[in-house]
Amino acid sequence: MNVHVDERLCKGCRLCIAVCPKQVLAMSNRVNQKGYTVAVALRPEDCIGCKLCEKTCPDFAIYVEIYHLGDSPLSGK
Amino acid sequence: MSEKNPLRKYLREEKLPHFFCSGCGCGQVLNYFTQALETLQMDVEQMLTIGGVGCTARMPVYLKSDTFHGVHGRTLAWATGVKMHQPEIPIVIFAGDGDLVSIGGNHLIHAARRNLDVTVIMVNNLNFAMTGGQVAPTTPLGSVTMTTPYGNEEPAFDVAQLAMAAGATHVERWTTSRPVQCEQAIRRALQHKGFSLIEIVSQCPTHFGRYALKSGDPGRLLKWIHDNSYPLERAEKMSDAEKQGKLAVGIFRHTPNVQGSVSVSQRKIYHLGDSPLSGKCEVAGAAASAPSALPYPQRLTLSGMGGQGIILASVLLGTAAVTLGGLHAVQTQSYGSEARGGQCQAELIIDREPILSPVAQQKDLLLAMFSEAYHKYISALKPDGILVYDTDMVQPEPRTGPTFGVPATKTAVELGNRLAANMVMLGFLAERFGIISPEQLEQIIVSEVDERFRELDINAARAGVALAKKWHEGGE
Repeated sequence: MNVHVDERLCKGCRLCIAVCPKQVLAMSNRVNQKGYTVAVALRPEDCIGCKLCEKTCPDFAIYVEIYHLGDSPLSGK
Repeated sequence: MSEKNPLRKYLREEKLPHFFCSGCGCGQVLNYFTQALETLQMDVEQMLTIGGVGCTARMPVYLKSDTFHGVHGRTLAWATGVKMHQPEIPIVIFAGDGDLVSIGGNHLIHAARRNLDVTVIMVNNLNFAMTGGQVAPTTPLGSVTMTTPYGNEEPAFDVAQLAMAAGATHVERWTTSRPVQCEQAIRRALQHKGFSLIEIVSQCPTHFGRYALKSGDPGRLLKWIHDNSYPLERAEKMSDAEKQGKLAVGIFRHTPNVQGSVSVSQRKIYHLGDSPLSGKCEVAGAAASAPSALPYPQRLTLSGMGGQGIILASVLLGTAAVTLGGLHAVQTQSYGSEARGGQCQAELIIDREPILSPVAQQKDLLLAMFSEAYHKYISALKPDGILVYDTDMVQPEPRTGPTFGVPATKTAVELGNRLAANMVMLGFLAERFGIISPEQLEQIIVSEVDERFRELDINAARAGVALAKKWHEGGE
């Protein structure tokens, strides 16, 4: 699992943090160009790939990439 | 947006980030809609999306479809015209509750009656959000909004029932807290032949949340909406008391071409005189004697960013001039369509004589707290007029007239809340230019400002007064 947060689009509304069942996401201390404090995937290793954050995000800022056996970026390396 | 995100192909990425507030349900519904397009593999470029006026109506702007945007409430009238000419084009209408059931209410019932083959996605945020949180026909009974400070005394429309009674053939209601169901509902609506209405009850952290629920936290509002709705399937097992004040969600109707029956419920009719407001309004009496000398400057523009409290500052200044100073004042205001982050301005004219025009072409003083606003309004300032700007937000161009840089935002941040920058500025204006006295400013803050912010605002105003005194001692 890889949780991408686009900091340019994030508006720091914390909805992803509210819906994540595994507390993968948290607020960072970074501020983007619009002045919003942005979310960060703090514990991506806990992600179960339910994509609730991606589906809930009002700003298209989150994309959860799910790796299947065999298509890991590490495979073959 | 992540390059791997498949939803990219439906969106005009150059328009992102969109203009919706942080945590707004409109953004979520746009997300659900693109998810539904992705599941159905529909070609968005062959579609027509229509938005009227309002927050929700901005959604088509971000989609790669053909788009109509901008006539308030007339989305369904446009759709009817397009369908008469080219019935094969799939049409999706994005409308808010104000757009669809208030201004466009008549179009809704007739489009439903005719079973016009369109998909209507209505984001119901329970108030008029773009214009500042006024009461709407969908605002729940008793809710406090900007225009109903004692609670809404009128019952709300049940939009799903209204559409069904008018003859809509596919009606569903969901909430933004149910992403999977919303996506499925939009998918069913897109595939339905005939009039389909999807009502999605949404949070409005900027207005409805703050006024009615006293919270601007999107997560809490989402939970409130979720807790105040129940699935239709559970309705039979619930008592009437449990259902009281809550909204049913689910598929209300999915049967093509069936006319609904009309039900009429008993409603209390209010007459003039038994409103909870009657007798509570008093006209504030002007102070006994008007001062003999006119204060200078008379014609002011206060400008800045939405959310900085520019309008509040102008209202306080004007109210103090009228109620405490015994003067006449006229205030007008304008702002961009964004509820947060756009530029806004308030014009204030203060005079000893009655004011005949609310507009002044040439301003004596410009207060600029945001660079965009500075560039927009500097041209209306007289060459010898006074410019007061926030040193943290504005870099003014060189000019000959008196110019004052005030570190208002910095001072407010030091006091604990940057939102108090407007009060620092008011303190500065009061002390430096004597429009009202610093004592009158404190008096008006005590009487007009919410108790929660009173202490902060008074401290900020005092800090502004101190800045002005320092300036004076430093010989400008």
